[in-house]
Amino acid sequence: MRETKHTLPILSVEDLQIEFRDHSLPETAVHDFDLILHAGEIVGIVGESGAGKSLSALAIAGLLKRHSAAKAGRILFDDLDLLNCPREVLREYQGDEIAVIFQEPMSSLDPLMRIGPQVEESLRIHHPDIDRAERKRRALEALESVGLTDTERVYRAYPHELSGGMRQRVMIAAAMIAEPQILIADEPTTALDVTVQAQIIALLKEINRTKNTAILFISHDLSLVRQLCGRVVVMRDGRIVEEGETARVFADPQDPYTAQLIDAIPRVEKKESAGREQGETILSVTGLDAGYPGHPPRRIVHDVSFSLKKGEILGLAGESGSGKSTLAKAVLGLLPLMNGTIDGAGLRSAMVFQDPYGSLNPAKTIEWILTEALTGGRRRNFSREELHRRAAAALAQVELPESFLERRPAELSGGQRQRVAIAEALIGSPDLIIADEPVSALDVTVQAQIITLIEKIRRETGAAILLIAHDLRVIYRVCDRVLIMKQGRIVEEGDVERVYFDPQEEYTKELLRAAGIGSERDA
Amino acid sequence: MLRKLISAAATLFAVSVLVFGAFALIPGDPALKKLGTQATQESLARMREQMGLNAPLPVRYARWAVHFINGDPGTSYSYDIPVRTLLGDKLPVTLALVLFSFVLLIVISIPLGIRHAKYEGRLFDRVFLVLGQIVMAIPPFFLGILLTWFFGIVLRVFTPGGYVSYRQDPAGFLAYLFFPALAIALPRVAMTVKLLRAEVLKEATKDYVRTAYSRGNSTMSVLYRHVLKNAFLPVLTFLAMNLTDMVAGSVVIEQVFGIPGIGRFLLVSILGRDHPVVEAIIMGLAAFIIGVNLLTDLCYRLIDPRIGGES
Repeated sequence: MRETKHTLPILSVEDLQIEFRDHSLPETAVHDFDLILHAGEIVGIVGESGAGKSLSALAIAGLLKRHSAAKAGRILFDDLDLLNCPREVLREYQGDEIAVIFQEPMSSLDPLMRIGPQVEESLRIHHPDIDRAERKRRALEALESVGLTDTERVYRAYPHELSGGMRQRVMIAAAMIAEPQILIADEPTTALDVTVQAQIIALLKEINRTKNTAILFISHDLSLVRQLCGRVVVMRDGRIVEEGETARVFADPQDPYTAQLIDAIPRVEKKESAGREQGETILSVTGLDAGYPGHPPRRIVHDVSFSLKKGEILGLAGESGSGKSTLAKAVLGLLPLMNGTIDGAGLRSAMVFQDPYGSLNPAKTIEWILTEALTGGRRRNFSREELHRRAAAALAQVELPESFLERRPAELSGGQRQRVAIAEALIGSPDLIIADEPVSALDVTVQAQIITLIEKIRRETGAAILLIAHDLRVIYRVCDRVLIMKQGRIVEEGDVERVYFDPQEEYTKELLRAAGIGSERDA
Repeated sequence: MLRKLISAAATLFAVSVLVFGAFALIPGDPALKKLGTQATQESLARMREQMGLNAPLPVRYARWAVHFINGDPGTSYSYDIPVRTLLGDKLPVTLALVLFSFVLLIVISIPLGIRHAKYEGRLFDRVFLVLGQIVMAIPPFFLGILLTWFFGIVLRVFTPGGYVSYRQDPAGFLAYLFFPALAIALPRVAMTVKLLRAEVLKEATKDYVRTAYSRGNSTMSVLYRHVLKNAFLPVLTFLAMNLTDMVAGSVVIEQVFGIPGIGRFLLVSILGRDHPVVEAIIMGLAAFIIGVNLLTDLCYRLIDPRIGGES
């Protein structure tokens, strides 16, 4: 779509090679990386974890620790090789011509320094001739230009006093204050809610348009890259597998891996009504208020009512802080009820968590973990053979071989661990499974496999599933019905078809728009 | 903060009760001590009456406390001089010595700790780590003797035993205190550097450090502008503990360098059962320690905006 009017190359990376000697990082190598960035263009680098996309970006920003990595190749900017020049020379460009924003705006800001001096820092370092008052004026201007209001207050605030979205805006203001030619954005929206994410993407577009800043956008999220970037580079295992105009790559991927990545994005297009037979209602929640006891008690969920039928998958969507997890805990009986009723007599329930790393005991074998979930510590009630048989059966349900029983969590990949976590939930033959963001920590291709698995489990076991997710595409793909939560209340509820194609509430529309679902649907 | 002040006052009160009570209970008759074993029963009784020893304990405590608050901790049994006068010119000396060593401790530790972290694993780091181990292992009094011998007798930078009063020559007084202060500070410098080095290295892996580099900061300005403040928080508690501990360290060092502080005086007074003096010194120390803790708390609030406010 974008005309190649920006023909002036400002950065060219030639034959970049990076290798870490210690393999402590998830991304350990980059091979034969070439890239040309033209003035004013936005190029995306996509790939799953371990693809080497962040590593390449950090190398361009001059932020790879010098002694820990072996590097070769050239990074040419301004007729200068940034990869092989002395630190002092590189520093002249860092922050002044090449600026970076990172994934975690909270930890990327100095917690003990006010926002003002952090925003001004590049200016102070590279333009010492600008005096204090002028610097402050420019900082306030920069804060305003990233859409922050009440800039005087923000200027004096500390990072912990701002919201996640505001922090990322501050990071962008700090990066843009010296008007760099290149902005490197390393997963800048991954830690943010969808609506905030959409705002940050819009802001990056605007900066690109008004200041003609070239942007190198690193992301694992293909739909974001599609919205933002004119050109895209696809990486896998440290190598570039495909590169080209974004529209072309999405319409006609040349590399099979690219095609697989694109396929893995859950699509939101009308599905034929499955005509699932409706089972009996097994759980009904009415007028539920829940929260955390204390002085004063914190009431987080307000007046929530919904029901769940046998074999149904109900999606629970909303942004962080909307009360999704609190609601799940209350339904499981982990929090005291403050009001309302939960009617699900004799229901066997189980939970699957987001982080398959943290939720499995690293010291135990998979067999121990699975059987522990079954026996609850009272192993004597079961024979050894039965335990083994049940554990193997649970593994088979999640499509893992019996040999995995001997392994420990550290020996498994992220996707395999999530399968084990699901097996742990399945082993007690539950009627209800509550899955709290079960795929959000996983790469897209793995995510697609787990989604398929969840559907299979519903088919085979008939268990009802309450699926909590912030990703509306995942919910559409898996769920029959969806609840949209905002600030502890359910604002909209209905069949996914109805909610996604004919949303009634403004907030639902906003969420769908932010996730880029509306545009795709109309196309 | 108000709550902290109240709890500090309560602590001080508890200490005073404990101190006064302890000295009232331990055997030994101050009147007898004052008049000597030759005294008659009558003169002893008169002396007890005069010293107010016959009143019940709470009354005696109240009397003592009221006087103490009004700045009169009583009269020394041994010298028959007001304790105030007695301690008046000794307390500032010890205080100066302790504060001087504390300043040295900070001034030496911070740059050294930062440099250690910067040159982690390199020659500088390794040489000074070994040196630090050695210094840590030497007791301060022996370090004092070594310093006296080397700088006083071999190099003749200062005159051992040539103490000058701060009333006569403040500059000369401070100059004389330099080596004793150094002897108190050095072992603690070694410990502080080791701690600071570890904290700086831990902080250096954080994301905001990467951000600082991305703006074109040099390593030194990243370390001083961003890392130091963050790494310093855990060190602060350690330093505060040291400051109170250094008062005890000064007692020995004052002996080695012949400095007329409260150190020697405290020992003499304890042995001589000079209760008013010992009580005054202990109360002084307690107040100092409580004050240091309050100050530390204040420092935390000043450095870290995430602390305080709500409590």
